[in-house]
Amino acid sequence: MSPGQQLRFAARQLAREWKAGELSVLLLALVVAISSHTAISYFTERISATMTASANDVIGGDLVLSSGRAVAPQVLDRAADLGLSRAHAVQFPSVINAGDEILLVGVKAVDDGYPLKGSVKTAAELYGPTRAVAAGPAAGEAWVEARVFHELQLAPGDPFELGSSRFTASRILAFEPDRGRNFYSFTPRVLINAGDLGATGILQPGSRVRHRHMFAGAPQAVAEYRAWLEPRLQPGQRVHGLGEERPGVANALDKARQYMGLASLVALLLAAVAIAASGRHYSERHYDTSALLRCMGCKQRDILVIYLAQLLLLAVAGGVIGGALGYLAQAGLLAAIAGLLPDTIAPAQWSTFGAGLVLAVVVLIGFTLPSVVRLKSVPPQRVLRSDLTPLPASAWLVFGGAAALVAAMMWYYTGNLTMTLGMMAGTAAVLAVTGVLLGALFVLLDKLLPGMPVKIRAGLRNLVRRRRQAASQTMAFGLTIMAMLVVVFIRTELVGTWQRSIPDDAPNHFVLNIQKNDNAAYAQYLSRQGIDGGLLYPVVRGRLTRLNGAPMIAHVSKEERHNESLRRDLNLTWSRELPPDNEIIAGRWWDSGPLGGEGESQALVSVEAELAEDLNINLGDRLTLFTGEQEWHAQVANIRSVRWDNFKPNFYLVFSPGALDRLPVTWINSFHLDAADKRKLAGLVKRFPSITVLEMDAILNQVTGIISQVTLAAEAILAFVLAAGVVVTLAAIAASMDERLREGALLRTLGAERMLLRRSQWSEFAGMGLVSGLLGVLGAEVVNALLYQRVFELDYAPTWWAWLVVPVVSAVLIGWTGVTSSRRVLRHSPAAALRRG
Amino acid sequence: MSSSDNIIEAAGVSKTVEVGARPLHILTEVGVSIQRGESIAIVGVSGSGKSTLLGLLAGLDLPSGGVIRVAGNRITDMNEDQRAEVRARHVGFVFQSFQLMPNLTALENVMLPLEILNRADAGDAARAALARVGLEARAIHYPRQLSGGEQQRAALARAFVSVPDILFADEPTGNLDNQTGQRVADLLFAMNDENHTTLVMVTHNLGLADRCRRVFTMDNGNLSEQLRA
Repeated sequence: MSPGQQLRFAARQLAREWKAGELSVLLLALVVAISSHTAISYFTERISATMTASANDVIGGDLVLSSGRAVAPQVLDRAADLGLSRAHAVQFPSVINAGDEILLVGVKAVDDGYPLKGSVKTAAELYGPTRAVAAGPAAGEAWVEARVFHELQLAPGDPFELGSSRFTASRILAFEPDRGRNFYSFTPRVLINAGDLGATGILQPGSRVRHRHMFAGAPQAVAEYRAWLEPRLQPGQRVHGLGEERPGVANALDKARQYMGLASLVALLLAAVAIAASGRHYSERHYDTSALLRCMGCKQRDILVIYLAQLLLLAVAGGVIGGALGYLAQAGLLAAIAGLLPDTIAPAQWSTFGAGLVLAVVVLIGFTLPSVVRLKSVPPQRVLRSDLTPLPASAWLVFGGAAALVAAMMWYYTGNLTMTLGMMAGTAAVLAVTGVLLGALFVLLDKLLPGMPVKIRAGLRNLVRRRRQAASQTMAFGLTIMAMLVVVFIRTELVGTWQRSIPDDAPNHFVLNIQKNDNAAYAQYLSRQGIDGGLLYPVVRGRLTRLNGAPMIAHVSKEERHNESLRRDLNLTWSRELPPDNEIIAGRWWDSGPLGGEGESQALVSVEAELAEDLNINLGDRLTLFTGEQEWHAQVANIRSVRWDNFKPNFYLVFSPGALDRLPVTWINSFHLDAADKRKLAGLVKRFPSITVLEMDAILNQVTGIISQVTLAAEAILAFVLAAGVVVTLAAIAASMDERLREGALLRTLGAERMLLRRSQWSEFAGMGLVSGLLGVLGAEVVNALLYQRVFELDYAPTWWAWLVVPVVSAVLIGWTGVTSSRRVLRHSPAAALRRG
Repeated sequence: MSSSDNIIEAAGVSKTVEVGARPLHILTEVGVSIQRGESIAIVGVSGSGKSTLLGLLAGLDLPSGGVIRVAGNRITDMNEDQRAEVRARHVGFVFQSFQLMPNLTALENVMLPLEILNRADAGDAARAALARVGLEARAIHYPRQLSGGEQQRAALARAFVSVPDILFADEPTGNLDNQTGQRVADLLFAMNDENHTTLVMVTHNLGLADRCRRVFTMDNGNLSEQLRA
């Protein structure tokens, strides 16, 4: 046969089989697999790109370069060459005055590119509704935080002076997108236009300024720029992305990406099961054709080419249909959740469609190849004896090849070897245990059958008699259930963890400078207003000056000499207990036994881990601090990690009880206030004029918005995985349909009533479902034990309820699906079925 | 008559298969020579080895021992693809269960052997073959739309379309009623004569066997020729 004739024959056969409905299950399995996978890919890529963009609003760009001095022009030119957009902010402390009042503030002068990402939120009146704008203030105007208005007794529109210039405090600054984790500061923010900076005359050589250059652009360009920039960083310069600036948000995104990777992995695994089941059936249906072709003189190579060409055509058809449906599905999904997403969603990429097409070819050919290769070995004498079948392919070739392909695809798509190995280990466990259990089960069933009620005996006898096919179907169901359980369990844990990380009533307002004498009155006032204020924390301001008697600067590297912690007063507190969300990573907390050395009578201090590393502070070191006019000392008792994103008061330095008694203390407090109650703040500030209120609700909303998106994506992807699982079930059942039709016809011809057949089907499929459910739970537990700890950093505990619920649900669902799908057995004409033989 | 006139020669052919751990001898030292243009029938009870011998002579399977030549090719020394080539060029088949491809029309089924031989005139030749068996009006019908007799006539058209040297027929009327079977048999012998084809037929139908020039009996793996007056 010439190649042209081979292709024509393949296409003609394929078209006829499609018309006759013989390819529907295989094509459906492929279409569902590719559409769910493509939909997940489209969805995750677009959501992920959007989420990353949205999350990067938090740092004001994709990449931030902060520097203690002006950045060399070539550094900025390089960014421009790579097509990155830029914004520049200059931050420095200064004093503003209005009338006789003066106030220390943090000035931020921004250029026209600001904000590069996200928007600035301002209000026209104190604690009034905010408006988001993607720009900084106009020349001559300043946007200032509410506390500036209180401290200087200004009203919106009033003037104030900064250096030699006069500014109008035109709006109240409620939110800067790039404030990052330093979201509360003791110096209130004043935002001005960079064009006004020169005229103020404030910045002189040697002035303490911080330049913040923000960059945004294509991920590849950003990565390339970062790689170029890092080796060229000067002392006092730092480059960071989202991960370094907001580890909590970045962590949630990472977990989300890993979860989505897992979901697409599961879709792939289900695809593999569905395709393998349907592909084997496809191959078996072509034994006769293959034998006839060989009988008429077709060579083995011709047979192989014909069927591979058919598969290729089928893969292209399945890939195109699946890709198109996947696109529509994700578009519908995104439209449905449009309210939760930013206005601009990252566009769909054609490469995703192309990848779906390639995947269709790889999956279809890869998982049907061992079956299809058998077609070339169908003995030609099958035309005389229909019971002759080709020798089975080597089990190692079939399972080893399929396993290697699955593993390779998993690794490629997830980029996570641990996750891949976890899934493979779970799969192998399910298969191994299935083999052993099913073998034992069939032996047991065979012995128990004679004593069983007639109603269920027929169905269970089918299982025993068709043990190989039943075993492969049970394995398919078991794998499907395992895969779905893995996704469900991890999704539930992840979503729970994310939502617990920022509860609905998380504090969104911080109150500083509560005077000792006002403590009781303040608490009472909050109580009367119906605000749950919780605890008040003592705060002392102090500057770290010496380490073990030598100036701090002598202990740190050149790069760290500009460390903010050395140049400003730190907020210090004392605590009897380790604050929540803090973890000791070296040393001991002071309530956990004797500390040795000079004992507990000395002031002890707990140092935050990053600060300790930056400033080279170690356990047992003696710190000298300066508060007001007083110099005082404390010994480092422990090093502690802090979850900065928990929206609670957190401190770099926490002292032992009594250590701060001789120092001037103010108190801080935090509480949750709904947007509708915002006006209560005005009364609070009026009643306690010395306090400073920090409004954190805008930042909190920004973070919870991201978490909502991530959660929603997780829910939606789960639906795709469930749909893929259902189709796998249908495909596995359809694969045995021909045989069921023949047997059903024979039994009906011999006088079996439909009710008997239906009961027989129920007992067979429900029995299979029960065993599959048990195996699925077992596999899911094995996989989850690995994934929870190694990948998602979650605490693993066996899900006991699943051992009871899943097998029962699985028995009912697979029983129902099997019986419903096998209705043809009851409806089909016995004569027709037997004639087809 | 010289051996070069023998289109099929088999000598010392045996076939043994393993059933469990025990060997089962299906054919024992079978020898037969068939001349070009002859028609022979092989009769015998079920399980006597008739179809096995047919498969071996047609090169569908290899014997456990012995030598078979088909159209001058020693097929017992050939691999599967070489034997397929011999089948494509020299052999046609008719089966009891017709063996038409269900997803191809009658015309496409008949074209198939010619397509395998890369013949450009496959369509025209197949139409002519269908006309010869009286099925030109059913050319675009699928096998399921044809009666049993029509399906076997289409199978005959397919078997003869490539004008093979040898036609192997396995119970060609076994699935047909007497009347239809008689008509199909008439057609088979007529086309055999027209094409000067060598006919090797396995049948239970002694009437059909009697229409062949020579009749062999297969009995428990041994082949013997019936002597006829």
